[in-house]
Amino acid sequence: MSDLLNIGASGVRAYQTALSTTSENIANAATPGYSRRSATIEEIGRTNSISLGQTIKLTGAGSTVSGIARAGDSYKTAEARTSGSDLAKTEAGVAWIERVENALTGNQLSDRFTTFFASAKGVAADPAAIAPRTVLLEDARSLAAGFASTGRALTAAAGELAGQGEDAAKQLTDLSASIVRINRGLTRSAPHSVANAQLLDERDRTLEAMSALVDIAVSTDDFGRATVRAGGATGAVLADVETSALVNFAVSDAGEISLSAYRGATSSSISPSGGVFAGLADGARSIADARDRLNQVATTFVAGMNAWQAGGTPLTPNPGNIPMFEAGTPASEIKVHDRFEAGHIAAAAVGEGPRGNGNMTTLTELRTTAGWEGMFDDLTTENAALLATRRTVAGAQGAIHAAATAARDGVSGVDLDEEAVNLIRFQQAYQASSRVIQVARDILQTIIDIR
Amino acid sequence: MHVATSLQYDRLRDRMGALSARADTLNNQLATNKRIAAPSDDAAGYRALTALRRSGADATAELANIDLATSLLEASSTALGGIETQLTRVREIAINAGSATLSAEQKLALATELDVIVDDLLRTANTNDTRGNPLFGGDSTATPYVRQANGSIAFMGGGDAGEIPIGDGRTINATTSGERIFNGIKLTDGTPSDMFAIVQKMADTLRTGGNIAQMGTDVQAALTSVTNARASIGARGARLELEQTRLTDLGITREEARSAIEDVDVTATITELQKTLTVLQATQASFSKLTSLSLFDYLR
Repeated sequence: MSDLLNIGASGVRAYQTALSTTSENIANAATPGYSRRSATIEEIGRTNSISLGQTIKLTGAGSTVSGIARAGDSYKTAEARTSGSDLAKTEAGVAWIERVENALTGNQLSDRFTTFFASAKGVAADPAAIAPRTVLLEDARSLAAGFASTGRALTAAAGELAGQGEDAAKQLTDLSASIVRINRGLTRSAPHSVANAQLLDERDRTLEAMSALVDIAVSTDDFGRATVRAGGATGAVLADVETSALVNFAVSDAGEISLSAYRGATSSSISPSGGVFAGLADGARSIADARDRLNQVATTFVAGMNAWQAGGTPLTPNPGNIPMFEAGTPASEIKVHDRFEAGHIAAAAVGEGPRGNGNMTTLTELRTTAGWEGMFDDLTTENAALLATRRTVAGAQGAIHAAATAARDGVSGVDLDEEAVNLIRFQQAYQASSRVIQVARDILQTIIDIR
Repeated sequence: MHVATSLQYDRLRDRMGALSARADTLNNQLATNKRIAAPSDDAAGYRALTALRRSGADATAELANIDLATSLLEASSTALGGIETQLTRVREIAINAGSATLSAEQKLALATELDVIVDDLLRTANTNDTRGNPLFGGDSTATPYVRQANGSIAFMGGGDAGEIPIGDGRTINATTSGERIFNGIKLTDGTPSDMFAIVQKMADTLRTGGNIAQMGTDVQAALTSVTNARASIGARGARLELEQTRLTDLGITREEARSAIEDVDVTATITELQKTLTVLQATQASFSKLTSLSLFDYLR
């Protein structure tokens, strides 16, 4: 009769575990990265202790929870990681290309160009008057300021990008160290234990965070310990069972990023093709390209305008032939010469009187042939077209990532309705098992009561 | 199919977020009446807008130039009109003094009148324009006609003033150098002279009692030169009017082009906004319905 009691007690124990597992699932329904768990209930096999007079095994020994199973599909998880990496790359890139767009349009350089050349027409109409010349000189200052502030906005963006890259590198270093800690934990934890499931959840969460930074290749051993490589299956190792890498980020003036992993004495460079780092590489190139081209426009503009100025006759004497514009470092830091006056603008061609405007006509031609405005507009529109394309790509990748995440969560996520059903099922089984204990007691009492 | 509860919430949240963002964009477009807020909204459209803005700014400057040129031409025309009146009077004097019946005193009086006319002519030829510079000085800002020590009047100005740009490479000569109008007048004997010298010579001849019969022709030559200059100014004024109309018309065309590229189609946008809001409302309603369903309500 004690068998019956044992069977009842084992059922109560098993279903208690099952109920607490279900409760855990419900409590973590909204926890990111939590994988649904279930108690694996098995029958206890009886191998010995056959009752007196029996020759064959007639009864079992109840049930037991053999382990906690963790729902999950490693392929779907990997797919969600890869698509997340692609999306992070595009989104990070878009943010920086947007910065370039804001820098190029926010400082109204294009409008300042327009105003400057329109004012030149006023000087051409009345070259002997000081008023239109003063207007042109002010517009020249405004144009120079436009160049400088556009250049500074781009420089600031480049600086922030480098800062963000360094932060991301620190984050990647920390995450790599976490992977090693998790790997050590996995070595010690018993398989199918709650601790093991928690570590595996933590591992997947960490890997997802890493893949948002850089495209990673993950291989796992029988314990579930992950070896993480950055930038493809043959890339630098970020973390394995023993050691993690120190990640370093730097960006050159030419807009080339360099990412390297130091592990012990060895260092290896990473060429990211996904994640924030790849986006930063993209953004750094866009910023450097915009700066280059802005500087080029500034350099040719200063040279062209000063040559034009030198080729004409000023209204008032210009001792020392002060040039109109001063070049700066970087080239976009141009300004109107401090001692350049409105009367110094060379409106007349050589040999003309104060009311001659031959050189202003040359300026109109120079505007067309040099095409500074066109060069700058090309830069703006090319960047804008790139941004529009990238946004479309980001939209598509967002949809792919959402589908991949849905597929992963479909396997590992918690469905509250399902848990409610389980709750009822396990509760009933628990109640039934406790009835078994009562019945066993009643039967035992019957025998005891015989007199 | 297994649907994770959190996924259900996340999806609805994303969907509602996207709809709100879309509604916000449409609302912004309606509020600003601009379809293109940044170049990336429509790169090609932005490029076209930049070109339109540029030619718009140029046209504004050119219209101001046309106004200036018109005022200069009007001032020149008025000054030349005064000179015409004076020269007509000189011609009358030439005809009157040609008759032999005039006494020496009368001739002297006429000579004095001619002296006054020369002074008037000098003043008018040195007229300043609205900008405070001489009208007939050419490309120089110096006083164009100066009386020399010997009493003759010399042209001190320069060559032609720069032509004023009035759009698309077109230019107009808003002022005429006095040298072209008052100097280089061919006398009957073929030698070149100037307007002042002709009148002064007439006065001198009258004072000395000489014959001025053939001098009327020289005065007529000076008068013709002035009349021709006035006619040319009138023709240029007409051209300016045409250019002004052209620029204004171009401005309207440009505005139409800009509107087509940049402006919001209000009807379509309002419809789209209404649609987005309706879908958003429906999503919110279905969200509250879906999330109110829970098996836990039936657990007792």
